[in-house]
Amino acid sequence: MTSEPYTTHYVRFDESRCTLCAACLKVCPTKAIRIRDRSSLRFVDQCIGCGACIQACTAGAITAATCKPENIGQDHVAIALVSPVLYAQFPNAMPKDVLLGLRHMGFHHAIDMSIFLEMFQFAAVEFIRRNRISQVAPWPLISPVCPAVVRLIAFQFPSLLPHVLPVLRPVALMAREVKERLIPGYEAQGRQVVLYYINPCPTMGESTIDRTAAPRQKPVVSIGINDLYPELKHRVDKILSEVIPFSETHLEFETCATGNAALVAMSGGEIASMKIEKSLAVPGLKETIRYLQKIEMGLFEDVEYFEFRTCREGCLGGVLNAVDKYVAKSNVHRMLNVYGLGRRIPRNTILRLYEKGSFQTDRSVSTLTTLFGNRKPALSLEQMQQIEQIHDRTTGWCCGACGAPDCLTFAEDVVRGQTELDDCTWISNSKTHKGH
Amino acid sequence: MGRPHSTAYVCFDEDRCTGCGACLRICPTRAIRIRQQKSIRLIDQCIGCGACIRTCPAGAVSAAGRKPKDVGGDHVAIALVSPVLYAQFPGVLPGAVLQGLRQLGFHHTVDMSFFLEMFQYAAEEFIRRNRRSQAAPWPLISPACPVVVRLIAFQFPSLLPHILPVLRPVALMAREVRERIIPEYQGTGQEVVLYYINPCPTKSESGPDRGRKRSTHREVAIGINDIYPTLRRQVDKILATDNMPFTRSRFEFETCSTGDAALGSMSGGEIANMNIDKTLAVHGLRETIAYLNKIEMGLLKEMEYIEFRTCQEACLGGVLAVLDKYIAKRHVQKMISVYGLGRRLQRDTILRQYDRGRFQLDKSPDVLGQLFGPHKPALSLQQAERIENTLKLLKGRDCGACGAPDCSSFAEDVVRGEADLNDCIWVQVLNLGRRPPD
Repeated sequence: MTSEPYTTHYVRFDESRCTLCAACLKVCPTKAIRIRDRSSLRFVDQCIGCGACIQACTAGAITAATCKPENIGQDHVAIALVSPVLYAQFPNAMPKDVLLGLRHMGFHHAIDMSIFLEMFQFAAVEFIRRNRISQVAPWPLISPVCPAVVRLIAFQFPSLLPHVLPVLRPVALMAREVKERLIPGYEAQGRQVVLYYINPCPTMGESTIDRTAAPRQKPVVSIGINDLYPELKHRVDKILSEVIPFSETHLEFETCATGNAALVAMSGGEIASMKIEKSLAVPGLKETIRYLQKIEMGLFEDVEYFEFRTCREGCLGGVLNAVDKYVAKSNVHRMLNVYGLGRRIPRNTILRLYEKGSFQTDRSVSTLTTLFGNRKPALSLEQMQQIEQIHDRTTGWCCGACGAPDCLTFAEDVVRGQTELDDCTWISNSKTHKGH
Repeated sequence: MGRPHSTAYVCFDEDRCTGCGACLRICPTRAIRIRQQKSIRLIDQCIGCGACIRTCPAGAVSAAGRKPKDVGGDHVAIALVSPVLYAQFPGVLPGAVLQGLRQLGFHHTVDMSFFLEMFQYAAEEFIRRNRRSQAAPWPLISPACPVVVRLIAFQFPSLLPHILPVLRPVALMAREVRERIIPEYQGTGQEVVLYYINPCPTKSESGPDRGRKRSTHREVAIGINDIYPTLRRQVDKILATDNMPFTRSRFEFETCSTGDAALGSMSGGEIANMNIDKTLAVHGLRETIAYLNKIEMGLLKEMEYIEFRTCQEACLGGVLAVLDKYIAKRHVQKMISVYGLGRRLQRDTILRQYDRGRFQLDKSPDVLGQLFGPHKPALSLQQAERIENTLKLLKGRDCGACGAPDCSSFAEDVVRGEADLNDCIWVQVLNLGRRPPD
């Protein structure tokens, strides 16, 4: 059992800090964490990078697998791909000031995601409109924006994979644009380019996000907003206090002139400026699971589009944020009151691109399944029966004393030969009773 | 043990209980225990949050309240309508919903959004004056959700002075009805019944809102889910007829002409319409507790007003609401984008009333403490020490097998003589002489 890892692709674990309180076990949606031999924590199953364990850990033993921002842009060209959540962390600054602050920190380019979100929204609306006639995808369609949701569906609700909207996510559109328009110029000069994703959650993981991408991939680094915040705050405050000449950028997505760019960071922000009436926004991990179950049961067929986010209040509630989510939300609301909901890109341009297939996702249902699907061997009917029998012998209290998150998972672990029946205090206790 | 099976807000049905313990763990005041693996006992104070109703997979916990029977048959029925009711009817204007209620037999239907506006003006005024007088500590906490007020009195008594001392919209509504509608029926010999149409079990018939002379009328709480089927039929009937037979009403608050009336039922709806910048809206039971903890620790002092709601997505997520909360929210948002946020009342009128003390709360923090504070005898230092010692014997995994929600509640129960130490399976293991597991 020592082969079971201490870390996952998305989270790191510090054993010296762990108090074995088992809080992480119980919140993990894929039931990936166990306590082995009553003494050590192990990741035995697939982590989807939701960050629930980071949030639940009271001892700070679990952290995100992100990089600290060091030596940015010193011997390489540093490109920041900025999540709109970053704007919401600065109540008095405009998005453009935040991007400028990043450039002062050493980034050569700071890319605004909100412009790609707009593209995505046009493409999504177009897909939904056509789907009303063609019915190629089943209702309700599910937003592909939150990667934790997509992985959760692939792992736990594979039958819902066809519901995931087959349009490239804003982050993917952004990365493609950078790869096509920014990087070739530097490559011609023989300079190394590094992409820094500035994220509110550990969902991008350590190195590569897209395992299907070409092997000739640029070094990709993921930075948590919390790691960047102290220095950036300092720079942004300086920008706000002095009149700093606005540095010209030659690409349209390198600055952000609108005040409402942080809208999408909020739950309901994605659907708010989409013209789809039958849409719902569901934030929070438990709520997401509950509503995915409802969709699996055949409910909500009259809804066209679901925006799921596994964090509460949407991405504003990501574990790597610096500012309280409700404070950030009230910042976003204030900006919206001032600037309203506007769009910068003409719809026709996007529609032409759409016709050319420029928004089509390269990840089919089967790709998603191989990437994130459940990799454990399927259970035989006999094994399932055994699981039932063992589950009947447990109390069903899910006390967690055995090191598994709940009784059913424990029963499955026993049948799969990963743990012993006597690890259940209740079962071993009743045996001793009979012995006496 | 002589403990009750129901509280002022919820009823337990022992036949349906499977002893799964889900309600135990979710109860914020740790009021529930399981005895002999199956029977539920309430040993502490219920604040009426409805979390146990929502979580019970067997349907054994339900809201206390009466099914609406023969409304207005032999009495004068007055409906006090929570704005959540409007959100249950997508595409229908609040006016039609109120009309539907009148066709169900209610003689009067009172729209709460009108009083919410009054409350908002008064709250703004208090906050504005408090910036200078500093009479109350920042951040002020909204008094609108009664569960939040009870939770604070029970678990965060030091935060009682933070509660905005302005009468809640429901209280304003009830007062207006008592002062203006009920007197009209006095002397006619007719009984007057106030029906509160609620999305949550937080108001009960025998609820602690007593204190007033009950001779003039009775008060009844009805869940939205109980009235929905019949009301739906009436509303559909109204919508089917081309011109709505609009009955004129004598009181300005008896009808509702705005489309944004359901705003108050959404999280952030109370503060959205207030001209206060430093506000937050927090919703959900756990989040509310987490943020009350933060305020108690001295955080969030730079905020002026916090809207807490113990239900997720606020009152739209109440356990007695019918429509899915996210669908209802979408509907409310759509209505707001069509009708915008407007106010119907004149600020000056409200300010004149404010100066006359019409919005002043009659319950001081002390009264709230007495009404909803912990009723159990305080623990002596000796007892507290014994609890600590007992806790050391236990594993601390909060498994719930003893029938208490967590180890510290169990230890307290043992010291208070309400549970036996041997109910803990870890203690049993020790007593059997086996080596402890680690």
